[in-house]
Amino acid sequence: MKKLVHRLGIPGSIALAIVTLFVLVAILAPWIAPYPLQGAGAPNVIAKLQPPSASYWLGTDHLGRDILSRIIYGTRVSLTNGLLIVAFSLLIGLPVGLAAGYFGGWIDEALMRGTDVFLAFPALLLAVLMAAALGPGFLNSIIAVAVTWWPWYARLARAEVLVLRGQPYVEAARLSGVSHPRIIIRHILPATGRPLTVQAALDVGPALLTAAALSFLGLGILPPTADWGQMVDAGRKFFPARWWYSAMPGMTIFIIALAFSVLGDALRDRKGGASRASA
Amino acid sequence: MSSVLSVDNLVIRYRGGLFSPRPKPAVNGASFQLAKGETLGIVGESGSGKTSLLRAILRLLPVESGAIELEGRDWLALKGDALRRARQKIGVVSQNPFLSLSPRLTIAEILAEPMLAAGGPQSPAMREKITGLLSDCGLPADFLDRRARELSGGQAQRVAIARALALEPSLLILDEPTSALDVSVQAQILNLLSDLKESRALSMVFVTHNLKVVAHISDTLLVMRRGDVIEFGRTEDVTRAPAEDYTRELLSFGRKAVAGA
Amino acid sequence: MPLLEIKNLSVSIPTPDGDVHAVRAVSLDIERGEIHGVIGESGCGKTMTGMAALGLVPKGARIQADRFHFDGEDLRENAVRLRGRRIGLISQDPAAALNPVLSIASQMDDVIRAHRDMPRRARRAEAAGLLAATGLPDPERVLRSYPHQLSGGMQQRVVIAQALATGADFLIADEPTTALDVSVGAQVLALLRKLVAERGLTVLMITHDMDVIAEACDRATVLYAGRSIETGPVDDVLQRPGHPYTRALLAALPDAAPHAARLSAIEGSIPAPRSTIAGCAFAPRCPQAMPVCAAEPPPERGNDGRRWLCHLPEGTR
Repeated sequence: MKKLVHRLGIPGSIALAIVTLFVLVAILAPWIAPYPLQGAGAPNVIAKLQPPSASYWLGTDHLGRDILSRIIYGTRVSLTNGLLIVAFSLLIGLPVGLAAGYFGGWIDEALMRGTDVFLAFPALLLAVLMAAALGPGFLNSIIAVAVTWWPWYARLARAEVLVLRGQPYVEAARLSGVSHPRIIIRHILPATGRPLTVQAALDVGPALLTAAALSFLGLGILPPTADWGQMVDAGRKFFPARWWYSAMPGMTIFIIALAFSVLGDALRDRKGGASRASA
Repeated sequence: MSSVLSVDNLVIRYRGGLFSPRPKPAVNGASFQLAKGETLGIVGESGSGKTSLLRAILRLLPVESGAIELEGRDWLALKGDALRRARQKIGVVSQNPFLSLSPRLTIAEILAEPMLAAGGPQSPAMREKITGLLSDCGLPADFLDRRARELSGGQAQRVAIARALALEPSLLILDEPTSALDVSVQAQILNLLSDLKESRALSMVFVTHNLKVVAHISDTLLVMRRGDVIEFGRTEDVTRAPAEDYTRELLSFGRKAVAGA
Repeated sequence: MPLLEIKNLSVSIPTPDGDVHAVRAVSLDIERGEIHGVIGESGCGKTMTGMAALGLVPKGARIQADRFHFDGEDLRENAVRLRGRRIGLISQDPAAALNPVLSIASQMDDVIRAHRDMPRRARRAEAAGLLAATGLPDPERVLRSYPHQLSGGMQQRVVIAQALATGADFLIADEPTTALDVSVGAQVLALLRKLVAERGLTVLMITHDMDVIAEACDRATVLYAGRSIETGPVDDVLQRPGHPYTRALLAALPDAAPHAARLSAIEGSIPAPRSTIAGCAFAPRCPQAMPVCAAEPPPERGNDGRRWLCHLPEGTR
């Protein structure tokens, strides 16, 4: 524990604690939410738009549902959103970057020009376009964001591979007749892991933020499933008089996005564990 | 005596920029032969073309003209998978063992890599062969599960030599193999190479900037300067009566150090 | 009185796993106007000895010595002030010692301006003169150049010119030729010899290369495991070595043995930098070791200016 704090630093450790807390909340949602049924979407019209109180800590929404319970249930959606977007992006970007960097030549040219096409559009606009074309829904919104996301991983992976490809130990493997796929899997992939995990951790926050933005625009998760972005949007109609409706989920998005960002920085700067050969 | 490696009038030229004049060749018509079981020393300073020559022999660099034959085969004609397999006939040891050994793998994994690449199955027999290789290179079997960073420079270079020998190559190429090592460790590695040369009838190409190191171990000597081969002959002849002042200068540097020892 | 006087210098660096004894007991007397070689293999403490004289030891390092004086001034207090005024450093990699984005003229000018009060034009002439003194042809063209336009040998000459510009009369040269080709390195060594003869410079030459010692130095000190174990005129040290380690090191050179014969390598390895050593540090690897060697510090043999530390009586080999 002490070692972990030393390696991540104090802000990084706090961020890690917050992220862990959110993960636990997501897993345990049905057991810790004060009103599990409302969290899952059941209306409760007798208590519409109530301010924060002892029975509804963060107030209620326009259908009388406990906002805390909604946020807790929304954690599941948001975290899965963020993680899946990053995972999909890695799934596309990593192989593209590896292939471009490792083989070079026309393969590199073709793949990177393709990547540039995606980078040429403003990311959010592209995501909105994609989401509008695919229609709203959980999976569609993830695909829409991932499409704008993977080129960054492709570029990062390619840059790492370009350095690694010239390393004498990679050349040594090549000269002893090791096949290309094997070199990539045994020598290149493990070494690109560290910078890419850092980038991925940094990106979960913004990814989840973009997904929330899509929901806010009505292009993401459909009601009654709880989603932070969609909650902020729904609360907009009652703002500022019923400020808590938008502000509470908004604050939550802010906290988690910040936590992921700080954690990513800490991972990048962490002490120790660096291999000697990279010096 | 049959030759393992034969290079004939090899020219290597790097591409210039679009509008810059055609650059002078990095290697300007190099020719030499290496007989089986012998060691060829290639000496040159930076910019002499020795590294380009070496990389061309390893097919890491395209040649402009000339021919290379390895064991009588046209070495420049090989492509793709045939080249990948044929390369296994050449073992390579480079200057810095810590850079040429993967930091993530154990010594056993590093030594197994070429064998697996050549299609050998993972088996107890392979482990035995690896242990044998390691002991031929002067390291005990308990090094197998260590990683390169836990070794000293000399030990790591022994591992690199063992890896180069894993597929019983017909030619061993050594690129400044002792330049990063201390004098006493250099002596150990040179002794190891002499032993291996004898016990395995190895043919070696030893590339270095230090004429005195390679003159000790080589049968023939080739001196390069600015892309040209300025000297090629039996080591005794070259060291006794160098044809060029340049070679004499390289030989005489620090001569006092030898006298009394 | 020697210009640099070191007696029983030790430098230890505290780490969580115990102190690293980078230098254990180095004694060194460097006379004015000589090139004194300090030779040893990696981990022998030769670089740390030089850095201690420059006041460039790592943070937290402990320096102890019976005497550690430069021209009568205690280096433990004055190293930082003397550095860049009387003591200059020439490092292994000249490219790293020069700023890649500034012209040679402006880098030379920075140094001259810091040390001498001169008008701009005179500084430029001074810079050109110093570059010419280091044997650079066409100093004006060099002044207009950037470091990457110069070869390694030319860069090293610029670094030497900068050291001269500070007015330093004592240079610490840490492997000044290791990054250079043999023929270029030989020219740089010849330049240092010339500067010593013409300007009365004194040079401490740190190297791992016997050839450099033979080529450039007047006297030499051999270091092993952080201790100076032998010192004397270069011819004596190289041709009649007193200490078994010096003998072994010379015998390990490839040109010491007949062609293709086995070299005499030194078995074993150097003591761990954190260990404590009771007797002679070389005893575990010494072919002539006696029981007393591991137990007691070796006595000093030889005489004035020609000394080594060994239990073996003088004249035995």
